[in-house]
Amino acid sequence: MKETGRGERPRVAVTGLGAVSSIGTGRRSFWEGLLAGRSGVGPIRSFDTSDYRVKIGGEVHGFRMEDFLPRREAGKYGRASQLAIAAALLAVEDAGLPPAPPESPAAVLLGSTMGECREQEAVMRAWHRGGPGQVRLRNLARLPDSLLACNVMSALGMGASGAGPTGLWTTGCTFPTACAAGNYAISYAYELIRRGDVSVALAGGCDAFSELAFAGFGRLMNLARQKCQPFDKNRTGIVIGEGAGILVLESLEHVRARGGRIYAELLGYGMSCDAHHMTIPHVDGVTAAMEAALEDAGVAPAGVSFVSTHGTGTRMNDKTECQALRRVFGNRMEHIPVNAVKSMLGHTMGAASALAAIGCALTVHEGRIPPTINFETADEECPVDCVPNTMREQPVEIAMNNAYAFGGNNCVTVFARFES
Amino acid sequence: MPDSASQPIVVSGIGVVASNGSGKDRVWQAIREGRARIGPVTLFDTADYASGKAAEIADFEPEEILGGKGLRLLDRTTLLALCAARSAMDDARLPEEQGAAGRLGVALGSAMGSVESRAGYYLDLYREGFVGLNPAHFPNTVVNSPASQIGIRFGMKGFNATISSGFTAALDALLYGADMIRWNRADAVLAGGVEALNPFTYAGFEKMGLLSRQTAEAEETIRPFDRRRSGSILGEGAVVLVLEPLGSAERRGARIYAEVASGRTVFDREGLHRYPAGGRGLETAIRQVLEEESLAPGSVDFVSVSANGTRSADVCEARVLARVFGGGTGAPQVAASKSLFGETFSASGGFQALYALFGLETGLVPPTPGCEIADPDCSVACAGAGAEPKEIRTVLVSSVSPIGYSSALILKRSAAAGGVR
Repeated sequence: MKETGRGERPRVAVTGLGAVSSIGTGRRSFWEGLLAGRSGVGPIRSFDTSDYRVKIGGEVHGFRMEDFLPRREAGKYGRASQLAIAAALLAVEDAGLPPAPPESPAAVLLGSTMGECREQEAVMRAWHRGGPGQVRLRNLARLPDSLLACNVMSALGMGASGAGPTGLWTTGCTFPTACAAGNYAISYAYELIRRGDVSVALAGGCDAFSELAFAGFGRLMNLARQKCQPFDKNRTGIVIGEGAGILVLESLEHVRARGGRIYAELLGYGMSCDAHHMTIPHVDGVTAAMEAALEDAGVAPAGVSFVSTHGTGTRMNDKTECQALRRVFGNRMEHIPVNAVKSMLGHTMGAASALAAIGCALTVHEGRIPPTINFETADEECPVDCVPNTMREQPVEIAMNNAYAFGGNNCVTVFARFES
Repeated sequence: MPDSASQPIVVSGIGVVASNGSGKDRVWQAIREGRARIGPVTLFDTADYASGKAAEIADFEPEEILGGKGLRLLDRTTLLALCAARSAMDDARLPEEQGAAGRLGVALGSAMGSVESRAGYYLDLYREGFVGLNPAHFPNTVVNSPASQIGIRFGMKGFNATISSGFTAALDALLYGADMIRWNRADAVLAGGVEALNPFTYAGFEKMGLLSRQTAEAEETIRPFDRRRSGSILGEGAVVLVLEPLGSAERRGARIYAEVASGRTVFDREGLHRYPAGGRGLETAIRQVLEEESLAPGSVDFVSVSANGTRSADVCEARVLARVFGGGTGAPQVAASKSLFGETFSASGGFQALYALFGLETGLVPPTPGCEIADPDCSVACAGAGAEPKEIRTVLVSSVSPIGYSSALILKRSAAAGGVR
């Protein structure tokens, strides 16, 4: 098989998967959790919820940075960075890449909605108590969202250093494009590999459990009290979650040369902006992103075998997404299996589309589709086959991964089964 | 693959809101005169700090640029971004229908979005509790809000991206925007950066020891490369540029300011929480872009630098430039835009690009008004006022930061831009 795609540009392979989630950490445990329909949602422990009507969230329990980094190193990072660093280390290990920094130009691209929210909370609580004088420099210095990608590179020993050579470089950035941020990061990595800038990239997203997000979505009347039920007639909203998902993306030539395993091929992506409203999705924009992604991937709508939906479980999102699926697929939409992993993980914000992308890569690789759990009552506004409650064995050639965000920032990625 | 893939990407519109003027013409005039507007902070109380000055936008009146409608719920960061976007579109005479066709993209650099909106939401939560939160304010807390509001207000349905990389964010947004056109993801892009002065970022810079401790009586200026420097002074503003392929700019008869050539952002581990003494990341970035453009160091006409009057920043950048360009009289002059606009953090790359565009259009190396008595540790030469115009074809934009990233970008005279001067 050719190592270059259309226009003789490198093809992009998914070769390593790292997940830190409420249903499992590491590729194997995460995937077992998805297939089993495991719920990561439970009573919130991150903060006191007595003032809130809603008490549930999808938190990652028992996570310890010390399990991944030496203790001295581990204490340097806020929780969002910690989750991302762990996911990156897991992804690199899963790819079978050496633990040393890459010996060619590389990129680390990370999406996040809330940034280093625990540090923000520490700073703002101190500020609230006694003004700027109470704020600790240690918390302040960890605030910029831009540091998330930097911290991953630093923990992995990547990048230039004082004594190092000048030839080898690592580039990166954080995409704070809200709930589609993971797909933004993945798609930019795709471009950098296609152009030949880098042959290896780590891309994905992370978010720590955020009281600000919890309170903000709560005020927008968007939180579910019991469970997240995408596409269900009685769905009541999202459940806030946390986690990190990182994918190792490589040029086909690079992975072939080292004899690595390939889970899937990243075929392309599409972006759009609703240009409509900060919090209400619009069917035109959502449709445009899917159509752009399919065109980019060179896949006709009839060729799509599975859709990992944005599927948040709010009345508005699921209805709008189904309208868009109808526009793209026509009446075939009712026969394409779709799922919403947010039913299990909650909405992990910047990590959401990255964790879903990991799900897509494994779905095409293994021909098994994780379910949408908590599905009880069909909704005529959402006439989809959402693989309710039980996973399904079914070959999947092409998987589409939808992500929409605050501000109408939409980004959709397309994965294909890879035959070696 | 359409021809945009191989075409140069050019700047065809300039939008700017700055402390010393708004709109390209006024800002160009301020640059010519070396006129900064630095004074006591009026937006919030700085009594607790040794510092207390900023390059603040006094009398910011967004209604004049945007009209009065639909602004009530928007924060200062978003309003600055919207004003710069509007003025860039006007300057480029960009047809509105391009946005509706879904081919107009937005790429905005922002370190943390509106810090004030996010911090304010926390304070509301802690003061008032959950029930006291205003749901209408929540969307302002997300970092991608300013870019999204540009999309919403002006109907731009192409991609909409926010890039958070700190001091280099605006340069990264320019590079991302230009790449997205090269990759046929958009026909034109609004790209730039925004930063609003706010008490929280101010406190952060102050606590990290980056701000000048000048007393109220002292002369109010940033002194990059000057041995009397005492630190940086925060500024605010927004720069948004219209990027499009050369062919489409020519077809529209648009003014072509410059070509966006090679750029590179490099992570420097040594610079994660302080200015990197070695500057290996910046050096790598600069050498990369010179090589990609096949430029001998001698063909760079001046360097638009990031020096901000912080000793470690100035010395690092000066040493890297000396290593690349050999120092001495043969090295290109440098121009520090932060001397004029203040340290505008995630917008600063936009102001550095503006300095480059000014030079390319006027043939003048822009001034560094604060630099008068050279620091012997910084062997760089700034341009003085009243210099004769010269041929300026190639400008290097260089940025080193204490939060990980260093960037280099080449802006050059477009072959098609002969009529500008």
